[in-house]
Amino acid sequence: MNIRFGFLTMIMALAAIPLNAQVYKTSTGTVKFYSHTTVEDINATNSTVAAALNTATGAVEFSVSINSFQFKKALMQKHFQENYMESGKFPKSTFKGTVEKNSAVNYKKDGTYSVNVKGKLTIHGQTKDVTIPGKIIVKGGKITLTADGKDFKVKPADYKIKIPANNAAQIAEEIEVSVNCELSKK
Amino acid sequence: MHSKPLYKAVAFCTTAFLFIGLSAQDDTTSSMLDEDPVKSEKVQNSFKTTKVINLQSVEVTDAGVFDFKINHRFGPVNSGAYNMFGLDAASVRIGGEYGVIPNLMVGAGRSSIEKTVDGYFKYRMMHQTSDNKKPLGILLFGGVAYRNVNFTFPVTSMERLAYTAQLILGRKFSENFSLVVSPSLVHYNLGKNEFSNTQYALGLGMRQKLTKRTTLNLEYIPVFGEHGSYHNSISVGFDIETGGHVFQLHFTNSTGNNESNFIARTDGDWKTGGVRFGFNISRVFTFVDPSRFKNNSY
Repeated sequence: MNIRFGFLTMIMALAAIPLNAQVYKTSTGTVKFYSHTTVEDINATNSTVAAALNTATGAVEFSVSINSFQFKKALMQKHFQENYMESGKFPKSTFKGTVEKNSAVNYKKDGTYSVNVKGKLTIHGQTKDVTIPGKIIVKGGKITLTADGKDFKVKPADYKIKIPANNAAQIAEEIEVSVNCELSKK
Repeated sequence: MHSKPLYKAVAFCTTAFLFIGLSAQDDTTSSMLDEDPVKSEKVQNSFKTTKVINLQSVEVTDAGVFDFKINHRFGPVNSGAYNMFGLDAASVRIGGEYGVIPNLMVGAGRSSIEKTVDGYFKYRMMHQTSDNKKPLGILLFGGVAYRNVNFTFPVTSMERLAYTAQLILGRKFSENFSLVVSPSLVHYNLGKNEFSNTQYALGLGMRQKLTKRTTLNLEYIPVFGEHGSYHNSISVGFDIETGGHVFQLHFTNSTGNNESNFIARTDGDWKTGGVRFGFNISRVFTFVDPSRFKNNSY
């Protein structure tokens, strides 16, 4: 009986170890966005992005604090928080998804893989199904997830972010979002 | 010893939990992230600008930002139709504020009333935080005003000065509602004989958001003790935010725009229509990229 119990415990332990070992994380990832119009270019950077990747299942997750986006102008930042993103009500944006064809990525070997990540993007309390083209870069035991703003575009209107007619000329209909998160084993 | 069926049941349950644990990896309700990026944050946007109406709010001009201020008060409404209910007269202050470093701003201006030049600073000692570990914003205000007007009797330069010290306690209770309570001291070097040169008052101000970009503001500044024929300042107004400008439109019984004047020397009486229509215009200009300041607090 004791031997069998011990055997069961061993299986449990074996099952649990790889589960944790396969998750790569960061809490200092970067997300930037760029809005281009003929009137004004707007840039903002957030370097406190939490992200995680499970290399076994291809599950990815991002969580972004809205108030941590830094702008070139303090007033712009305030308007972004209060008038557009309503960060009091919706303090963060999240993405939960899965790397498509995850098995094609060899996480044990250094290399760069172009992938599509499919999942649910939540901004301003609105959730949409999206597919984001990006890259997985494996190097020296660390995994970097990147997306280029040229490939990853977000329309404020899709997420019920209202832009008054007065400001429509300054804010692009499509915002380019770029992602760069270096994950390490935790 | 356990009976065999019980052992099997335990083993089954454990295995089942293990599989639930495994499959939960793809479940959207669970999270792999052990850290929430939204930690305790400094509470922002308690007021649309650095003033409630006349009173200072808990906002401080951001570091590297210049805020150009025009404060305009028309004549009293009870001056009658001949004076277009006050619109024919004007008292204006033109000034500006600059954020020197995060949490410290300085300001200066000149008012037409008594040809007053004023200067002041406002310093944030404590910033309200979203986790309520710091439930209040605490700020310190110090101001000095120099009345350059020709008096009918001889006065020295020192006598032309008046000082204001204020402790500003403020809290944003919700996205829409914010309050300030400001114990204040005003000292005039040149006083009137019938009451003290030093006056104590309590500034009370609030704002209620009506829409994202407009707010209703109320203000009441009771002065404690004898202050002659002067009245307590009472104001009601609206903030309207349009891009880089904030327009504040209001009715107030105060004419002056510097603290020593509107706290201790408000001469209008609401009861008899001694109220003025007025507006403040605030326009901000960014001079220094905020990333140049460490620990910037926006």
